[in-house]
Amino acid sequence: MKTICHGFLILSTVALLPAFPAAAAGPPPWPSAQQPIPAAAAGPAWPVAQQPILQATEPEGPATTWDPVRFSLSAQVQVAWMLQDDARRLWGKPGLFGEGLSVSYEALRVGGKTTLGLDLSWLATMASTPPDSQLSQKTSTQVFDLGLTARYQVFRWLSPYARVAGGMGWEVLSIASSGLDLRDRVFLYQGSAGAGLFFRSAGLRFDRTRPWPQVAFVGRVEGGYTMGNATDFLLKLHSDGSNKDPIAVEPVSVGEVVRRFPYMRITVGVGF
Amino acid sequence: MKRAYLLSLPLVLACQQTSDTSLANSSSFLPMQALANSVAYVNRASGSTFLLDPADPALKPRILPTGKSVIALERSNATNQLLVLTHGVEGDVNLKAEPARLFLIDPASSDPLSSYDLPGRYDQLAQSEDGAFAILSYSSTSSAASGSMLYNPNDLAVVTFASKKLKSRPIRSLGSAPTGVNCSPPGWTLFGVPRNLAVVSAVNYVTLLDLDQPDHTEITIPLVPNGQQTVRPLQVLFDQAGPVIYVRADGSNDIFQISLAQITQEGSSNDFRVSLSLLGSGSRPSDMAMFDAGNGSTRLAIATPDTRQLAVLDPKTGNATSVPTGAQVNQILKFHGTSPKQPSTPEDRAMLWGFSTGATTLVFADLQEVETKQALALDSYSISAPVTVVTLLPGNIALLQQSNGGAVSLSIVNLTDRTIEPIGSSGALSHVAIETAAPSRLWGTDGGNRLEYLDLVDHGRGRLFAGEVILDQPIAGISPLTAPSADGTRYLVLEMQDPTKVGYVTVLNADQPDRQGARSVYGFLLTDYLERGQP
Repeated sequence: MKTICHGFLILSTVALLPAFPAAAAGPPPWPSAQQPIPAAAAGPAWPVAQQPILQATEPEGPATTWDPVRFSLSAQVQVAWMLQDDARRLWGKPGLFGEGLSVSYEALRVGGKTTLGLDLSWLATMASTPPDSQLSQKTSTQVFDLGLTARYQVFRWLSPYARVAGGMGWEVLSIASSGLDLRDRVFLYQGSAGAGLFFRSAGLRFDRTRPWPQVAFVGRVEGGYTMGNATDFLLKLHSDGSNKDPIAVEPVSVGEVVRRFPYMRITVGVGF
Repeated sequence: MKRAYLLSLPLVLACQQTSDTSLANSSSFLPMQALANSVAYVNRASGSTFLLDPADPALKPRILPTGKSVIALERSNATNQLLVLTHGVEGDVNLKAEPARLFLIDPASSDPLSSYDLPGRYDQLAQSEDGAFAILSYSSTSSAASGSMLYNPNDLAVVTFASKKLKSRPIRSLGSAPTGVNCSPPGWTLFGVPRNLAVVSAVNYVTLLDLDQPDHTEITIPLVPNGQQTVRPLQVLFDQAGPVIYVRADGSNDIFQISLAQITQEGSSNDFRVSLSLLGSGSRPSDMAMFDAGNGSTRLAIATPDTRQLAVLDPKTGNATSVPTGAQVNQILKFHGTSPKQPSTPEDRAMLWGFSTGATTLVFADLQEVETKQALALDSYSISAPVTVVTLLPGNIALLQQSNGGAVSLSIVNLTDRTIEPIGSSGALSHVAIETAAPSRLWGTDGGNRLEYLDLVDHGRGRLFAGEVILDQPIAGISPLTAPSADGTRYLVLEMQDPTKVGYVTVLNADQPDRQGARSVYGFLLTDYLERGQP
C-alpha cells in the first residue's frame, strides 16, 4: 500500500507540473519553413541555364502542437472517504483506493474555449482485512461510469472542468473463516458530481509528412461526491459443490449500507 | 511541487490510516442459553442479546441491546425469561459511566426490556427455586472484577420480581464474604405460613435473610465457636416438616442444625430466633438427603465415604445409625418408589454412588428400614465403570454417565426394579444432552457430524430405540428445547463447530429428527452488523 501511495505522489506531482512550459511559452525549436538555398552558391562559373530553385518542403521529424485533444485514454485512481460508520464497517477502513481506466472523447466545442466531452470509465476497488485475521473480510466493487464533462480552457495546458457521471456495477462482500465462506454480490448504481482541473502537455506529432494524430500527455485531478443505492448483503454459505445434498443454510443479512462518499480522482494518460 | 505534496497528503493519510472498524476484531459470546422454545446468545462486551427462534423460516435473530460487560446469563426458574447480569461501564474522563444492571428478557414480548439498576457491580446471581427472587452478590474472588476501587463484598441486592423491587441488603461479616446463596424451596412454610428465606453461606458462618421482609435485619449464625476451625458450608436443606435448616460443611464431621423458633416481631427484628445444634455423623459427610421416616418425622441420610458408611440421623434425638456400604460411595440420589422386596410399598429410598472415588458399585438403600434392619436395608450392584453424572428421569429411571479412561459410556437404571441396562456404543459419546422431562431422550454425538439419540421412554418404537442423523459439519453442542414453538414443533438446536463464533446452528424437529427436515444458519451473529457495529 505504501508503494501505491508513493506512486500516487509521483503521479500527482507529474500531473500538476505545467506541461512542457518551455514549449508553451516560446517559439517552436524549429522554423515552420526553411529559407530557399541561393542559386549562385551552387551554380558553375559559365553561363548555363538557370537551375530551378528548390521548393520549400515540410521538415521531417517530430513537431509539437496545441491542437485540441479529441480522445484520451487514461489510467485512473480514486480515493474515497467513507464518512458513515456502516460504510467503514463494510470496508474495514475509512479511506478506499480504487484503480481503473478511463476513455474520454471531446464531443463538442462551444465557442473557442469551452468543450463538452463524454467519458467512460471503469473503477475497481478492493479492501480486505489483514491475512492473519481469524475472520477475514473482503469487499470489492466494479463500477462502470458514463460521464459528461464541461471544460473551459484557461491556458492551453490548463482547463477547469465540471463533470457529472452515472454508472452501475456490482459489489461483492465475502467473510471467510475456518474453511467456511460467506459471500454475496449485489447490484449497485450511482451518480456523482465533481469538478477539477484538466492538464495537458503540448501534442507531439512524430511525422509531419503523414496524417498521424498528435500525442499529448493528459491528466485530471477531480474532487466530488458520489451517491448511490443502498446495498443490502444477504450472505450465503458458499459451497464448493462436494456435498451433493447439503442441508439448507439460510442466508444472513448483514445490514444496509448507503453508497455515499466524497472522492478524489486522478487520471493520467495520453490524448490524441 | 509543494502543491503536489499537499494534494497528495489526504491520499496518503487515507491509505495509511489503520482502523478499528474491521470485522476481524474479536467478539466474545457467552455460551448459548436455551430457553423454552428459543435460544439466546449474548455478547459479553457489547451486551447485545441475540434471540433465535427455530420456527422462524429465515432463522433471523432478534437483537436486543442489553448493558455492556455481561457477567452472568441464566434462564429464569419461574418463566421463559432470560436474566442478564451486566457490569456496566465504569466510566472515565471521556467515557460516560453505565450502571450495573439486571435485565429481564422475555422472548415472547416486544415491549422494551425491563431492567434493574444495581447498587453494585455484582458478579454472582442466584435465584430462588420458583424464580420469585434473585440475589446478587460478590463472589469471594471478585476484587478485580468488581470494577470499583473500594466495595463491600458483603453487600447483597435482593430482587423481588413480583413487586419489581430491588433492595440492597448489606450483611454483617465475620471476616469473610459470601460463597453461595440457597433459597428455601417453593411452598416451604414457617410457623404454618409460606415463607421465603435465603441462607447466605460464608466461611465459618451462614446468614439468614427473610426475603419476604426486606426491612428485617439479617441473622448471622457462626458455625464454629471461636474461629479456630475452618468450615465451608456446601449444602443447605430446608426441612419440610418443621422450621429447621440443615447445613453440611467441608471441614466438619457434623451436620449443622439451625432451628427456628417463633417470637414476637418488633420493629425491624424478625419474628423468629435461631438456635444452632450439631448432629454428629461420625465421619466427613459428602452428601446428605432428607427423607420421610414414615411417621411424619424427618431423618437425614448421610454418606460418609471415608468410613464407607451410610448414616441415618434422627434430628430430634441426635441418634445416628451407621451401616456399612461396602464401597466408597459419596453421593445420594433420593427417590420415592417401590423396591423388588416391597413392590407395593412406595416410600423414600436412595441410590448411592461414588463420584471421583473410583467406585464401581451402586448401593440401593431402603431408607426407612436402615434404623431397624441396618445392613439388610442395603443392596449393592456392580457396574462396569465409575459414575460421573446421574440424571433422574421420569418414572424413576436414572441415567448413569460413566467414564472409563475418558470414554463416556451410559447405563440406564430402573430404580424400582433395580435393573441396570448398559447402552452399547461403538465409540465414545460426546456432547451428551438428556431430556429429563418427557419425552425423555438422550442425545449425543460421535465427536463429529453424527447426531445419535436414544429414546429413554417408549415413543412408540420401544424404549431404548436408537437413531442417528448425519449433518454437514461437526457438532459442538446439543440443546433440546422443552416447549414447542409457534408452529407447534418442538426443536432441537445444534451448535455446529464455529471457531470464529459468528454463529452456526442447525435446527431439527426434536420429536422426529431427520436430515431432510434440518435447516442451518451460518453467521447469524453477524446479522445487521454493518448497521449496529460489532457483533
